[in-house]
Amino acid sequence: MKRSLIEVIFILFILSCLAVMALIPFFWMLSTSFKESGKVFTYPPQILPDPFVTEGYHKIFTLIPFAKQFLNSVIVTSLVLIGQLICCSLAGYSFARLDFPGRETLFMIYLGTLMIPGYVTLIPTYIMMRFFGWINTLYAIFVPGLFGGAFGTFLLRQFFMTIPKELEDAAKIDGCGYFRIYSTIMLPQVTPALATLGVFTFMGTWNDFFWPLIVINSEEKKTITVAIATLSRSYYSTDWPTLMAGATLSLIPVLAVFFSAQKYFTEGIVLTGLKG
Amino acid sequence: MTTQSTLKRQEHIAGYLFILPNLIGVLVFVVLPVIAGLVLSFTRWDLLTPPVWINIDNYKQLLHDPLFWVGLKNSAYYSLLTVPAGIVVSLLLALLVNIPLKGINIFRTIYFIPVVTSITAISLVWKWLYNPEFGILNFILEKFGLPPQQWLNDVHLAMPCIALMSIWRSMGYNMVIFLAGIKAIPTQLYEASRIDGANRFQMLWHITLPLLKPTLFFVLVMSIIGSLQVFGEIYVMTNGGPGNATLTYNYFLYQNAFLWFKMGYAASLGYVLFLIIFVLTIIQFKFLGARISYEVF
Amino acid sequence: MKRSMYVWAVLLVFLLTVINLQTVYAKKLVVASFYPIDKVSGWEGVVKEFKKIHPEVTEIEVQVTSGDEYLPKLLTQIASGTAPDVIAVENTPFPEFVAKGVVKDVTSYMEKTKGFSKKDFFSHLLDRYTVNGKVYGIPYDCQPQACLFYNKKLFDEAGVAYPNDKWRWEDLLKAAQKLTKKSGNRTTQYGFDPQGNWQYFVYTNGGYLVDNVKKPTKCVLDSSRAISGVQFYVDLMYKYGVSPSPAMIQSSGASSTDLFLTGQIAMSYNGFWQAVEHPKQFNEMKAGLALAPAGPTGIRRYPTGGTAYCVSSTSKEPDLAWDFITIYMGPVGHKAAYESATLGAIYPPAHIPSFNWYVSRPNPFIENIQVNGVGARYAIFSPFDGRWPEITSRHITPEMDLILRNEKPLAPTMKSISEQVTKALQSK
Repeated sequence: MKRSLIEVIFILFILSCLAVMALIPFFWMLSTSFKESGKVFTYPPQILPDPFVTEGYHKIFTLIPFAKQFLNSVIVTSLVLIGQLICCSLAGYSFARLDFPGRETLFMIYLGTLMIPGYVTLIPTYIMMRFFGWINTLYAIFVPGLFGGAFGTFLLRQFFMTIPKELEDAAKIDGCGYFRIYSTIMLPQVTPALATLGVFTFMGTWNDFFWPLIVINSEEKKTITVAIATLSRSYYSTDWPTLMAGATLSLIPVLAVFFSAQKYFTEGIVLTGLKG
Repeated sequence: MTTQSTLKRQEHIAGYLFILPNLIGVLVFVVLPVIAGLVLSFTRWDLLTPPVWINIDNYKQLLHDPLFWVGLKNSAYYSLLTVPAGIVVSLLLALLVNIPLKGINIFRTIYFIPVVTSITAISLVWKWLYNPEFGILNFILEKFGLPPQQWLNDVHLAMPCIALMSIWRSMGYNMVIFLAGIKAIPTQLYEASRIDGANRFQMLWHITLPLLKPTLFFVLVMSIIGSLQVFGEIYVMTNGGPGNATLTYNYFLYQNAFLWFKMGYAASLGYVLFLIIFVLTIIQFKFLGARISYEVF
Repeated sequence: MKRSMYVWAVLLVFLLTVINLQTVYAKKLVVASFYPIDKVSGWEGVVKEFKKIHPEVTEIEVQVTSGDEYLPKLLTQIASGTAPDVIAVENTPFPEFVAKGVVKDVTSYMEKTKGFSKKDFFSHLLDRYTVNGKVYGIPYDCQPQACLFYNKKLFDEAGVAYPNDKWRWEDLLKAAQKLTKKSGNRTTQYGFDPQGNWQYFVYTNGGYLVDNVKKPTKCVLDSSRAISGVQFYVDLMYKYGVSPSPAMIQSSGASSTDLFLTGQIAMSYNGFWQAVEHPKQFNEMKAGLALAPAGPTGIRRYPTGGTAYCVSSTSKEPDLAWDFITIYMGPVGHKAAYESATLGAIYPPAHIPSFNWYVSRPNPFIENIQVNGVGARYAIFSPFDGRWPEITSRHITPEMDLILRNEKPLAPTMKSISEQVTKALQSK
């Protein structure tokens, strides 16, 4: 449907208002990362840093083994990302489309695991990590996520459920095995969902704080999020410019992933040719 | 020639094989600790000495614990404030950014920024917004001749204030999920109904919303789970105050687990919450969990 | 041919033995702390010194965890049997740690170590970590809440004399009144900020929290001294308007220290760590430091916190752990920390010889550090009971918060707090 110019301008206006609202804290965060510690809470608050300093960033790059810790984050996040996408899509397809005994019960158990607050299972999980000998190693951070969790499977199941059965039936008649159906027909239809899961997994793993903090002891094995938090929060006070610099640095990769994932948000299904 | 039962068995086997990697992960790294946590809920454990079996004493105790009820009430209130409104807002946003304008991707990314912006930065800006002396909200109220409010310092307004911030912050998150759901709807359906003379609103009501049911089910379940387990956002805004007006269930659980040497009690709190959420989810499943079918157009 | 094979065999055996001996004698020490990176750089000097004395220790692992997460992590480690050898234990969870036997009695170690006897520490501080004459933890820092920081520039502008060590509440109030400025209905400058520390007003007025700090059985916050003490704080905020309310501080998003450093508060009361955490700003401001005022009748009593370092009872190397503690908490450690700190800002040592040494160093960021040593003579800790963190969070903090926000009547609420706390203390 074609939209009139007035409609387009009106829509743009709304979009822009919302955009401004969404960007204000981001700008404050960015601005504060370049402020001097003493100028963060002047009254009235400074919009632009004066003087403009890079002390926050400087501390991050010099006081901690930044490169090593950044690499740790990259390794852990990439592994979990790949693992989640593969394992959750396989399982999501199965729960959505393959019939097997105990499917619905098993799925309810999956959902159930999402409902327990993490603090309750923290220590048992830690003891398990100790049993495996993974304390203070990156394994403790990425292995649990490597096989995917209930969240991703739940998400993809819902999306696989929206694909018309006709597509599969046609493929089965053509003699495709389940894996062929999965990889050549089902997966391409849920690229927006895969992109979404990818972004969320990336975001969640990159910003994961509490668990890596508990499980890692030495500086060089820490992930970047944990390291920056340790750097900028002392027991009695917060080093705002450093904290904000760290937050900005953490935000950039996630946003980059999000923006590039947008190209997968395409129209999905083409139904022509299936009728009759 | 393969028989029906052989085909069925092949499907069963394929079903199990496909979930196997994921299932192993979930069983080993999630279900096992969950079962351990359940066992712990029947113990008294100070973390410094071994756990002591005390049967269902924890569960009996929490029913009489005033802070249990305060935490539950506050978390439920927060959930009621944020879930319905949040879903409506993020759905509208998803419809908005679905419009094929040039550069819409930039807007989508901008709306996602609050989701990944540091909660410390967000909480600070919102505290200033809510500041009784120089915040924008009171400024606007005064312009309209209305009395200025104490916002976060008001026992009755503190939670709604935080809820508003939460809705604003996470609207980009669910927007992405809804957007993916909208993209999954075949465009032929819209074209066919346009030929039949349907306007945009009718298409929304008769095509988009019904076919978003699976997505909606997901967003609803995850939003309820997330809102009932809220902790960090509230803590950074009000520390649970004024008084206990914004003390949430999950924070109370955390206090017991790691500050008050009562891990067993914390575990029992965790399982009570689990039960509540589970019951709620089953109810939602009845309404939204059905598999959708496409009417033949 | 045979001879050379023999030689190779012997060499091989020798090599294997040496390698195995290394593993047998390789020792590892694990230390846990919550001081952040740039204060941990002082660790290098400590570690070096320790390795000189104990070359057989092949690895020293220092685990630094941010403040809020330190206790959860430590508890997780203890619960799963991986407790570090040397652990920092804050004064509030300490009673429970001692009660459950997870920290070792180090009295005999103290007696054997030169310069580390009981009299080498500020007695009130060490007393906190002593049970029935046995010492279970060595206090690290001497930072009683006895510091009154003041902004000299604002004092000069208002023509008010600087605080001195003879000040009592009335002097504080008078000065605060002259140092409070308003613009419209907004206070642009507050005269005095006690940073929510109502305990200070209770103590200096002659009141207490409990009947016996070491063995609390009854809460005495319903005494008239306690009530009128807190009343003075409430009046400072709502009657005289010289102190910022909790609502004001929270709405500003800033910490009290931030507000002091940006000139919105003339006098700030708390502990020395404020200056240690912001040395450059305190230096630029040339802030003054005086001993916090005594009460109306001249009583001095300062609420105190602080951290002790302990040897964990499950440590396989208690001797090494003790040696590390003596180096870290003694002259070597504090010297290393001082040398790597910005402008020499370190937490004043609880070890008296080290404290005296520190006070005599150039400390450009703040004057009058000996205030901490004086304050230590009047230090009082929170009640010694493993359940105290829970009791405070349940019965005291939320109610006091509402009292200080002027939303609940003072006397009846403090009576009800007292009843509930007493009930909690007396239950099993």
